[in-house]
Amino acid sequence: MAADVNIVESNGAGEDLTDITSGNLNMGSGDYANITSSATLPITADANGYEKWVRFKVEDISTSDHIKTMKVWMSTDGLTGSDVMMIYATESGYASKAYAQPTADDSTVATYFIAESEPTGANVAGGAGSLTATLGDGEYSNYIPIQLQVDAGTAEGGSFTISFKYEEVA
Amino acid sequence: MTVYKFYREPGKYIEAKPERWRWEAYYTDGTSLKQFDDSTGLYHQFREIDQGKLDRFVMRHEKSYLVPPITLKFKPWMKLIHYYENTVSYSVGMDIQTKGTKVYCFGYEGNGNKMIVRILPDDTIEVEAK
Repeated sequence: MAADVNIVESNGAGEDLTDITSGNLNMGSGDYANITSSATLPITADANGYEKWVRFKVEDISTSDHIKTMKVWMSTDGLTGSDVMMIYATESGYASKAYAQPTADDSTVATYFIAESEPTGANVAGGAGSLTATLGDGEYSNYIPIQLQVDAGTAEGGSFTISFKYEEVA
Repeated sequence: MTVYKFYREPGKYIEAKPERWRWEAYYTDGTSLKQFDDSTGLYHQFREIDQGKLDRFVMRHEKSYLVPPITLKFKPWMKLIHYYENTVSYSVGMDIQTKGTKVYCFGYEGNGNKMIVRILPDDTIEVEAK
């Protein structure tokens, strides 16, 4: 079988880990993984959602050799009005971020606008902040902090697609 | 379903489930190496291919009687490439959440060129020159 690679979310001061690969990445007004629907923990206008801190994890490399070239981006179809999605993911000048308990204050780590189409190269690093690093059995990528910042004029939440991609050498 | 064995370490194997598209490497000396070898029941990793004597690299569909193979005629200056592109997409704010896709990619780079063939989930093919 091919490698089992998951998306894992970190929450809380003690960093509780949740595999959200088959869950969801709904943004909300609480520091929780798998917020069950848009009606749960809604983000009010002119406020931020709690940061999401997620990573790739190679749960089982199985018969494959390694994974590489990790990317994250968002579709352009769903943000409402002047809402913005902030992230730390970049194809150049990458510096890994240490985990900190998610906050609804303006993020000091998710400071880039998320890419609105697939990046050409990796924008998520492995190892000590290397965009060319490979991941093997049991290894994590660097953290990907994400925060939805809702505009004062937003009356109702939107929906959009966030994609995570990696190359697997088998 | 045939189960193939992969020995990550001597004497201990894990089972490899067949892929929809599998590679086969044919050498200039008439021998070959197949990712899923029916004659031995073994699974081979891409890095086991001896590119120094590679003649052609073939991608073959599991239903080879319906879908023709794709062949890359190899040249000594080429560096062979093969990987899977895996994508997990989240529909944020919706009750429908994740969707995963797998794309089979192969090609070569060298002499300042790079070419990747991408076999999409519906088996349509994209060729990308970089």
